[in-house]
Amino acid sequence: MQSDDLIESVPEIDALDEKILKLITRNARIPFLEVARECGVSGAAIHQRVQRLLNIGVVSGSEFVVNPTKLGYNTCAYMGVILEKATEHRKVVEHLEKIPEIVECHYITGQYAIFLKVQTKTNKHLKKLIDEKIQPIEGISRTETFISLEQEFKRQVPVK
Amino acid sequence: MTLRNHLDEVDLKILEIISKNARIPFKDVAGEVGISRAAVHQRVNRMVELEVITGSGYYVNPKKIDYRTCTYIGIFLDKGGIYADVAERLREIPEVVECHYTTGQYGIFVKVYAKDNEHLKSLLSDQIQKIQGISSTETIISLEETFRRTLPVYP
Repeated sequence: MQSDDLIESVPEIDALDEKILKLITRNARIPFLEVARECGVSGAAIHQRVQRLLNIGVVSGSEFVVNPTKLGYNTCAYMGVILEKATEHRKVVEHLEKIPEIVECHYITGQYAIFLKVQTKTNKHLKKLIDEKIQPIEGISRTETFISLEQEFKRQVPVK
Repeated sequence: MTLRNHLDEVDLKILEIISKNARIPFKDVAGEVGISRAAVHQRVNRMVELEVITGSGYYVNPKKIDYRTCTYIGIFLDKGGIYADVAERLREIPEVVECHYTTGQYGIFVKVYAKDNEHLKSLLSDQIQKIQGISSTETIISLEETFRRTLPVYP
């Protein structure tokens, strides 16, 4: 493997890109003309810049942020997964991806092998999910769950 | 009518569409759902008022703006009662992107993005561990975010 493969290149982003990012990460439906006015360039230039940011993967789309509790998802939990064998990792992840309540999945260092964020409607729903969906996956030896009693805040990474 | 905050099927359909693409013209949403554009506007506004929708934004890929290290940090507190003060101080650190009050061994659990391991070290020793009330921290580095998605609107 070439060493280049191990380093992900960071695309060139100038001050204008940063300014645009700051505006569109806070409000996805902001009219591009307003962004243009604030940045002092034309609307067409903003279109072009945003398209470029999408093309190079700096932004991967837009989303309305949904409040989980208002949709009835009242339990948020983090879960460390301990595997029987480290080599089972890929297979286990494939199974986990099929469970929609798992909203994040990480390959991690430390005592666990896989780390998950899970949103369920109730604690009972969480128990059922662990018992009937997660624990039966072949290769998982056990799980450790901690429940978030309150999400103090959640936001995106700072654009400088 | 569902029990979920008096949201009906149409609301949920709209939510499913716009939670994945925030810039979709409401005209297209209207077409897909089978109501007028004005009605879509009205329903979205209502969901904003009800705080079902808490905002919108383009999603930035942290790696592409140089945040290569993603970590979870479990924080042990001197005593449980100071949670609110510590959380306020953590909020002031922009690299801390999520903060939870959790059950289990940790008092607080945060998600942190850093540019590299050196940056992570300075965040930990110069900022997070200097906060009064934090007794120690445990860091879990994510080597790969295998997936990340929004929760299902439909169960």
